Amino acid sequence: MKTNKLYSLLLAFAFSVSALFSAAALSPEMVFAAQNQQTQQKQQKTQPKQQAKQQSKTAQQQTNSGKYIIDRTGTISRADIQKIDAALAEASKKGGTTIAVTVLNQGLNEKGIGAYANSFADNCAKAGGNGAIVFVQDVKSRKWYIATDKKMKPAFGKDNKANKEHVEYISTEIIPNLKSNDLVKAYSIFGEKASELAAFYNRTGDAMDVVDTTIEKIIIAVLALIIGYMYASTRRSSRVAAMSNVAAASGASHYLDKSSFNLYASNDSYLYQTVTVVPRSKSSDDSDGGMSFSSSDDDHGGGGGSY
Amino acid sequence: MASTAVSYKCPSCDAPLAFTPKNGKVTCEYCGTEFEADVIEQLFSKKEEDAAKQQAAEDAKWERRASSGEYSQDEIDAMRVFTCSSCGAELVADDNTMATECCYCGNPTMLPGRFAGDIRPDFIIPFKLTKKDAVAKLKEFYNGKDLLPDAFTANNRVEDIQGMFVPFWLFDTTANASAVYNATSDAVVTTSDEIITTTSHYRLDRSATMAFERVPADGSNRMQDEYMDSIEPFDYSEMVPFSSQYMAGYLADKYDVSAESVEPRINERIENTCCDMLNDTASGWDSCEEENHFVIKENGTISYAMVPVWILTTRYQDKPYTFMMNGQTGKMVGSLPTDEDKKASFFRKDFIIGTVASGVVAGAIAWMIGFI
Repeated sequence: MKTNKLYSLLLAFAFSVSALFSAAALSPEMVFAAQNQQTQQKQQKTQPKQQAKQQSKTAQQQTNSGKYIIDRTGTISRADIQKIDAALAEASKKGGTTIAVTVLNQGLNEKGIGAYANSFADNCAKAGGNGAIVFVQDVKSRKWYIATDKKMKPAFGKDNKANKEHVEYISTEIIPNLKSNDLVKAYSIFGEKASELAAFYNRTGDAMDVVDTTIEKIIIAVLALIIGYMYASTRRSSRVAAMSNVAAASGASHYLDKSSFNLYASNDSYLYQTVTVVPRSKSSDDSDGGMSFSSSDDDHGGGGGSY
Repeated sequence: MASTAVSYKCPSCDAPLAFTPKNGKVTCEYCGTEFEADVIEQLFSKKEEDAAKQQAAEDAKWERRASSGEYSQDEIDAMRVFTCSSCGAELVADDNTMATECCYCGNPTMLPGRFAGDIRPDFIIPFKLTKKDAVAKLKEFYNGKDLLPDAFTANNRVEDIQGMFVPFWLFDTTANASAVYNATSDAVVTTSDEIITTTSHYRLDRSATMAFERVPADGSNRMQDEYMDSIEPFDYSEMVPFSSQYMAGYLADKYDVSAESVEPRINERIENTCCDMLNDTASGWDSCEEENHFVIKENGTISYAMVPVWILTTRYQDKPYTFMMNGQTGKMVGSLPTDEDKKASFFRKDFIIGTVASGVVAGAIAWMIGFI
């Protein structure tokens, strides 16, 4: 009994230090198991009466986790877990990197979910051996985050702008499905998109160009032609105008004795007032899948938002 | 036969005299003697009287000849014959010519009959710039004209240069101007959901008086109004009471457009300037539109002046080009021919430069804001 308590204390200490940001597990399952163990130990200390109930619940949650998905909410059915797991396994195989998902119920803020996802990506990469792209969803705070480990960071581009574009490329189609709670579809899409980026990067060594700017480039070209024409026309007009300086006089300001100007009446009378109300156009936020924050650093790519 | 014209001849050597803009004196080009203007004025006033009488007599002869049916009355009214006091040649001039030069001997000639009565000018602005200055100014005028045909400047020879005094009416008045404006002032409040603009509407009343001094309008049908407007302004500080001695060596016309005829042009110019001045007092509003205005001119007076103009004529591809220069300030006006090939070439270059430059700038901006 004493040995068991000491073991539990050591485990609790180890995982409280790493907390959410440095889970020591080498696979998604181990991360999940360790973090569940930590929760379990805390509950044993603070709520011994509910221990059995919690263990039972945790056991149920564990069974709902697959190799590539960790469901810490316990709300995803086993059938869905299997579908998602299969999709992510296929994506990981096609992409040549670990593609995994964690669903939390912790109410993490932006910084917290970003750090959690980075740590999760690192651990998945260690387990898989060829980098990782992960998706973390917190159902309590309704935030999401896509993270890469250091190896897969270049797959999201070389700068923050490219990183954001790649996050949005993945998340745009996922978020509506998160909102409608269609997690199978959401994570299947995540798997497809992430594997696409990973496969391209593994094949070429460069990030995939995810933004089709053909129309924008055409718009700029047309704009440049119009401006060029306007510039040339204006210059032509000024050159033609310079050929003659003959023009009828319209005023007599040269002959006005400015000192004689006497403004003897100047009245400003208020008449009435009108009020115009124009609704402000809502700026597009992350509800459509746009990235609104990022915890990317030298070792991690990615970003997140709310849904 | 008594002369009907008066030549300004040097009392010393009998050579023609001419007004010299540089020193403001009447000078003999041959012996170099210089005369003050009033001395010459007195010297030749008697001659002018005699010439005027002789002219009146010859005019009567013209009447008789007209009655014979050889010339129409209009033709006789329009043309006059004068006798050059230097060589005796008969000179023909139209009814408006006040000063000219003999086409045979080149002698500067006054036609004093044209100075009689109410057509005598009140003021004259003497020539300040010479014929040489006018040619130099014309060459300067060509500078910087990208579309000027190369052949125009390469083969260009000024065909004719004439210094001419042009009759001008000068209008003095005090204008009493009033205007009403509708103005608005906006206050914008932005909330998280909407932009609320509160617009306050005002009526602005402005009234002012202002004095205009010697607003000019040419009184010559021969001179295009636009050209004469374009050589403005004149420096009236150098204007002097009229004296015919300043006309020596130059052509001169008397007015053939009455002051009443040019009044609408003058009224419009004064009105426009009054509106501009009042507009300036109604600034600082988010929007301001004039509703109406009134300009009442008070104490209006008209004077008659002769102003100096150099007229330069050249020819390119059988088409005459006329340029006019303010003989006082040197302001050159005119219209130059355009080389269509140069025009197209410049357009192509500008189009390429504009397109490339705007493409680079637009591309850079689009990249910076994340558009591409």
